[in-house]
Amino acid sequence: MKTAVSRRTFIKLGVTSVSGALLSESGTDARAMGTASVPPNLAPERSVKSYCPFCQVRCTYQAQIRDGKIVSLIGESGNRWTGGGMCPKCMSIVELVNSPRRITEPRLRTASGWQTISYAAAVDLVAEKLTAARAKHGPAVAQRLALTAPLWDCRESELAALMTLRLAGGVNVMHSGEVCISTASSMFSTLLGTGNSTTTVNQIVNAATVVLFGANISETYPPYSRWLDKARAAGVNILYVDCRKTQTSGFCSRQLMPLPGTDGVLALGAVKYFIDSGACDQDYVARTTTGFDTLTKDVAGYDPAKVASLTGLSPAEIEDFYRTLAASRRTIVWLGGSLSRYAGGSTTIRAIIAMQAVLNNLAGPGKGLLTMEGGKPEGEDEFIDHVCGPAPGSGVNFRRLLAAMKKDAVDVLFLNSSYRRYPDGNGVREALKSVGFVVHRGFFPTEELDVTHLFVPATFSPESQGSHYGAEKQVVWRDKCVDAPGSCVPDWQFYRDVGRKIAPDRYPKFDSPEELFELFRQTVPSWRGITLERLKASPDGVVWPAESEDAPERTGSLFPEDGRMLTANGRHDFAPKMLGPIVWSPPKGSPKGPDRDEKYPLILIQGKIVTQWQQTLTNFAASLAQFSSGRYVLLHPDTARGLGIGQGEEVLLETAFGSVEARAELAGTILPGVVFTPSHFAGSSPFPQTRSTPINDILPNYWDRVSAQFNGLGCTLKKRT
Amino acid sequence: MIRRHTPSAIFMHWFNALCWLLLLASGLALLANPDMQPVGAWWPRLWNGALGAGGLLDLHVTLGAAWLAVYVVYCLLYLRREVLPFLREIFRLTPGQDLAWCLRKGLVLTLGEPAMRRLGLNPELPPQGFYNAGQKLFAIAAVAGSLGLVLSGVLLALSRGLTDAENLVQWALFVHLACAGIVAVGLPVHIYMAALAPGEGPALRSMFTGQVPEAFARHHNPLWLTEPDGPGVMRK
Amino acid sequence: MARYVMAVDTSRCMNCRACILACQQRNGLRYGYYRNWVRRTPDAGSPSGFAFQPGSCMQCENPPCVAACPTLATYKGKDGVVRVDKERCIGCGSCVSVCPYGARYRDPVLGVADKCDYCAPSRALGLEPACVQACATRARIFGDADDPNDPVAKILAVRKVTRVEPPEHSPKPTQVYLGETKPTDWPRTTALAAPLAMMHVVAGAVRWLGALSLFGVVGVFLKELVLPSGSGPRDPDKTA
Repeated sequence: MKTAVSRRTFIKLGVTSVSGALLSESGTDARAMGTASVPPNLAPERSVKSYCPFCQVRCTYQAQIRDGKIVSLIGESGNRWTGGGMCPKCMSIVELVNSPRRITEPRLRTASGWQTISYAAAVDLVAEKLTAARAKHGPAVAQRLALTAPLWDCRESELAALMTLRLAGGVNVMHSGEVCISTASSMFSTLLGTGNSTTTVNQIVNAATVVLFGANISETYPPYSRWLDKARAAGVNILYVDCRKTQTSGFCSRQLMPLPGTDGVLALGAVKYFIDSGACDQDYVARTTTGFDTLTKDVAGYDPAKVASLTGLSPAEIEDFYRTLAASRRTIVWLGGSLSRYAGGSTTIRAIIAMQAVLNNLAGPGKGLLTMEGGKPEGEDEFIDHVCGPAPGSGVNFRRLLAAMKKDAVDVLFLNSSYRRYPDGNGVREALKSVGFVVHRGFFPTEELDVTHLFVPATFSPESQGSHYGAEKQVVWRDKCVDAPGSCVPDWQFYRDVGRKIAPDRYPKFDSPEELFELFRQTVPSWRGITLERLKASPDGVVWPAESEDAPERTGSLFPEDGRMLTANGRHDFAPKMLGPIVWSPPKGSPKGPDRDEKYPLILIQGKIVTQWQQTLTNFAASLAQFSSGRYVLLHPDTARGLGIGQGEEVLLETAFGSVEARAELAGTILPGVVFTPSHFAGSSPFPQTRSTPINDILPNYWDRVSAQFNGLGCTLKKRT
Repeated sequence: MIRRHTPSAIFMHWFNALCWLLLLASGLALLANPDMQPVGAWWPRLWNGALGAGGLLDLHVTLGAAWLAVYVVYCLLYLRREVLPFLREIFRLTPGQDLAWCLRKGLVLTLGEPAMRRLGLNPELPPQGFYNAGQKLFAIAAVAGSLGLVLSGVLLALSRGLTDAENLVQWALFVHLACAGIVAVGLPVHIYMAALAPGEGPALRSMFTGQVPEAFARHHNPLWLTEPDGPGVMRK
Repeated sequence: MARYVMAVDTSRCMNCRACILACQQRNGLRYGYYRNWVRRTPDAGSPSGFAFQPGSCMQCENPPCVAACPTLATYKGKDGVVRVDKERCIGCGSCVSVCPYGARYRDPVLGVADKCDYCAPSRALGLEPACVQACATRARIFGDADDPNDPVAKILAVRKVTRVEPPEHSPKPTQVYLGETKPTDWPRTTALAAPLAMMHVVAGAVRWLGALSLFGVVGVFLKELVLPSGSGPRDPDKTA
């Protein structure tokens, strides 16, 4: 417990200040009758450094611990990214950890129902299944094993699991981003040479203009609102592109509300406008890009009139938007996850990158592209390859894995998160039932148990130590705060124990996340300078990369200052052959698209609300349920009038693939014709306020080349009678 | 000498007196808001300094519970022998006589007999039974007040576990104060008349010995002496 | 002694409700019961379509809750903070119903009143109030208004403040809003609950009647000493 405030210091501090407070207060209050003492049950015994496991902001906090339990969290005020701010999701950890609903012993599905087994027996069983699969299929086992991310607690857990999969001969890792925001990451890698943001959030105060492209920061990443607040105070012009007014709107000077899924059109029109108006930085384009002529051809059709007809915006507001951007000396675009959640999202991201590139806004002070997926430090593949040998082939994405599962071609699946995060929830559930052996690492009795053969209880973040990373590429460290109940073990332990069974000679030896971290640091040069000592001493971690301990910390852009990209030739290619020309098309199944179904004239979009994080765990916290009142659909009063739906009425939200029950919420804050509903309610939630059929159950299995489509589908609403 | 009080009644009287005084004192100290209690802020401060906030409430509730418990036991054990006869006695009202007694006694105490005679008022008190009219009135007030205090007090003590009980608690508090107030107003008169007034020495002494001189009884309680179940029955 | 004040900048609030949850956890409250809040009011003039207004006990200068408390369990400290001494509280709820802001509730298990005390217990441990600490945009600014170096004193010196008050009989809230805030018309004009109001009457009556009874008795006692009422000869003790 080196980094924790020692118990003695804390008590000393407490006693001194309590007695001070008593001395200064006693007998002075005019009408006070009693003594104002510190209730003994509120003073924590110790305080342990930790971080939030949910979003990429990676808030760090001090867990306040009493009687072996976390009682509250105090944001780390020394964290330069959060300033100590917190959000309700993070604070729900207190409750999730202490929840009486946790399953704390491994369970095996048998013919006669669930049977509780020991942790050792569970590990043996998993190892046996992996060994048997390899014995039966030989090298072909590579595609027959799979693992879904994210892992539950830390980077070391992720590494341990990847090594286990690799040594078992498998290659299929379902990264969390593919149902989230990995389109941005993928396009960045292809076009700019890194999957990361090209700048850091603190740079937005140096920009002249910030465009939040579908980025509802205040609701999805509340602590980062402080940067919007700082930028606003610094006079930065913050523009917001979103078909829904949200809490984020409050920080912005102007909002454009295009039709869902048409952001790419807006960006393509911008590129054309910049080229036509001469705002384009020809010198920069010549120096750092290729394919500009192709780009010019690609955007030729997108004059303001066409942009207006596709986006639903007025030509005047479009031109005004373009003029503002053309005149802005430094612009940062913050990409929302929603952009990646349409089929065709890659076109949108490409168009926005081009929009930034032609004005020389890709990198530099007050310039760049931000994503919330942008922080993952590299080195993972390098490490796994080094330790376990090269991968026997390349993995598939979930869409292909789904097809494989349906063909009984998957023997063992490590289900580490919720399957309900994928579209076509019912189809996924049925496919999972065809998998030979599903090992689920979870906490609560959720829908996942329906498809699970072996349940092995996991630990919540504060129950084990380990490192993690955040959106600014910072690596942070967490100490173990409390003991896990029953036989709950952290992922690094579970996957290590399985790994040792199947490959005792090759699986690296480590007894703690510290040892694995150290092995990683020694192996990967870009991590050499990120020592445990530095991590433990810092309130907000150390920014990757850091080749040596002596080198100053490199916050900010990964790009060299001369403006070169990190691609092979140092340039940004507007028209790589593998991607083809930039052709925008409406989202699949959209009421505005060619494949529309007249029965479903409204556009369905979904998103996180402030009390939800993915994997639906947050539904199990009463603290968050108290702010929720079940599934609702937000729609414009004009839309509602046309359907005869009144405020608060019970409705059925229908798509061509199914329906869910919801309550109608009418507000002029959403574009007419669009229906919004929160993403992450769960059918297994113990609280009615957070319980609902998952929205993904009524979405089709639509994907583009990178990620799944969650938004833009046609839908309708019917009054429930 | 005539036996007027049984040992059990004597015990209950003094036990009651002690509890009453302590409960009144601590209750007024608990009710610290000077606008809602009659004695002022100094009294709660005094008690609070001695016992602390929690201690005071604990004392009041414990004492109240003990008082109630002893009374319940007493009432069960002595219901026929003492409790019912006592209640019968205090509710045996003769409105005209009782009113005359109260008015004249008040004037006798304040103006004095000679002054009354000079004013042409009759200072002669109507003959009284076991209890005089004043005692009956005070006893009725004490019994009714105690019942009110018990009901409201039990409710107040148990209300912590109740939800949405605010209104009930507020009314209980009002009843508690009103009942205590009525009895408290009568208390100084009772103490004076029974113990301090000239000539009441035998009455005070009887609350220890149980006996009164026959002449005293003849003077104070002539009707009692002639009753069929009067002191003749009780005489030893 | 410090004079604690909270100033709220509503333009920074995004209704994330971290302040509410932080308060509940720091103070060990039951979920579903709140010492603080964020009011969400439809507001077509606001970019988000809503006005968000964080609040908590207004720590009034003339707190009606203190006047309504029969046991003085609720009191206003010299530091400006209105607090509840749970040991004295009998859970009558008169403070709850008399608060124009609805800032109090009766704890369903302990049966005592509960309210914001600017996290007094944890402030004594050197921490900021939970809501202040958790707020990502620092919309709540807290400190000693009498200390010129304190952030709250500095901001109060330069910013116009708005007080949200009931239409009549303002209790003079000390928690203020910086600049404009919406809405301002929600606090209720309240009255003391009927039984408590009647206790004022009963207390007055008992005070006067008790005094009459006491002084009457003392007067008669003294008069008897000086001027016996003359029924002496009939005193059986003296005749016997």
